[in-house]
Amino acid sequence: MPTDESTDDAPTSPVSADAPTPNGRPDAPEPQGEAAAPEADAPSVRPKLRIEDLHFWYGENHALQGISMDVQPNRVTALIGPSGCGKSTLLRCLNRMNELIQGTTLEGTILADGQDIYADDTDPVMVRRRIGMVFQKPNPFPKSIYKNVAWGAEINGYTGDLDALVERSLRQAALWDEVKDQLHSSALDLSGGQQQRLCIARTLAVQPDVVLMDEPASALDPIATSKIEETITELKKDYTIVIVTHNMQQASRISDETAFLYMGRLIEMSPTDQLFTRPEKDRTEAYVTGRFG
Amino acid sequence: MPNRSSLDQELASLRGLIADMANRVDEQFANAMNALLQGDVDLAEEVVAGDDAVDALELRIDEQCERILALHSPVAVDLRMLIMAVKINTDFERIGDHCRNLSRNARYLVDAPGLLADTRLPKMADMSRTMLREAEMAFLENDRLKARKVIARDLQVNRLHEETFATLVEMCEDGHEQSEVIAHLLTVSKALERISDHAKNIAQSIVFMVEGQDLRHRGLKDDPDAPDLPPLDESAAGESFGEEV
Repeated sequence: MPTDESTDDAPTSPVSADAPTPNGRPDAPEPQGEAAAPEADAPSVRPKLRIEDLHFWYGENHALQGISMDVQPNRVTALIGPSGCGKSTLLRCLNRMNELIQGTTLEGTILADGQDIYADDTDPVMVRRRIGMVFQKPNPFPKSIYKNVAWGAEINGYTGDLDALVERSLRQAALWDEVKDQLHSSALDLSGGQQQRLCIARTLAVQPDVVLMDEPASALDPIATSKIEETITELKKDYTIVIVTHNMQQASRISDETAFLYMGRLIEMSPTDQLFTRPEKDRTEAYVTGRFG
Repeated sequence: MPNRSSLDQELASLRGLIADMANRVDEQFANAMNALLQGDVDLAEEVVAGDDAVDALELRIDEQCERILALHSPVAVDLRMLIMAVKINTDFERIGDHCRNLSRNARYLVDAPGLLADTRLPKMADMSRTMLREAEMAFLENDRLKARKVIARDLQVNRLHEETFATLVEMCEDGHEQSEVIAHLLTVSKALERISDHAKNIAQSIVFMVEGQDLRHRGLKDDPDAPDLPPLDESAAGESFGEEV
């Protein structure tokens, strides 16, 4: 039959016809804002972090309003949204950093490997050891490179081979080759990008499960940013990473899942490729295309 | 964060170029069919010569797409617009090639003016052109439902092509004296069928741009928004040609 129904020059699309499953919570409570409805075939792997109906207040300011989401293990999860949307607040809730601020209130549950990190019998210091944090501006101690990395392990009573731990941590942070011959020089002599990778190494040295990053490359030039991004991509083999970023191209380059927050609510959480090609919510589309925010 | 006003200008310029391309290809199609229906060899040569302008426009649109991708890194609906533009640009250019190929048959049909009109080819040409024009309108209006109508119409053109093919083969088997002309009519039928395929591709790309949904390689039954088409109008044929374009 001459009809050429399956066209010989049919176009090919870089985008799969099969929509990926949104990482919505299968049993998320109602107050989810406009977040994507969960699907039946949500990932079956147990989440590393599970956030359930999380509310947070700075005094009267209701900064987080019923966030429910899962963070999958060995994945990079990006939190994006306009300034003041609550993404850094959410990040800091994940290792109890916010409770250091007076006048704040938290409701809801955050489970790490199934354990409530805000339970009465949970030691916040242990939480922060398991869930480390890298900040926006590199903040090395005014000590040697070696001491910066070893310090956390030392005060935690690490009894293993400290030299090996320092080397391993610096290698994981992709800094070893650049500093191996100057380990006892001051960390403050390093470039901004190197200092940030040193801070990552310092975080890794206490052997956390999860690494939280609050705009870790925002103060760096493009080459240093690229190094940090490569490091993050390598680190997800061994760690679960949650990153806050204002740079949407960075989120699209390095993350597996992206959560879009707006005015304290989770609007949409999807696999990153879906969120940046076919977002489900109009508000997400307006934000990622620069039409607001 | 994209520079919205600059990106909007670039996208508007791209849409303008694609609209030019659509108009130019529609004109080529009309001229090619008029050349065939009226045995106008001079007009056929104009179509062949006019294909260079279509090719040049294809390159310009590709350059504009490349420029936007490089400078603006578009995402979401903007990215889908770019993906659509790259693909429908190719489809329009291929339709232009088929118009050129249709025209090359004109000189062989001059000696048999009635034979073409006796087949379903004028009807096929009408329907293919309707699809092309509706696809253009769907693009200009971002109209996903109009685009779906184009997709559905392709089945009707395919059916006409099958009928035409069978009729022409039968004429050959019956020892028709103008077998060479019949061979050319077969290529005309195939070209028209391919033009409707490209119009369908364009419509599918428009749906992808508007909805983010990929309708390719799916039957109409799997698309809840697919329209019910009226039965094929068996009467008038060739009426969309011979008009000012």
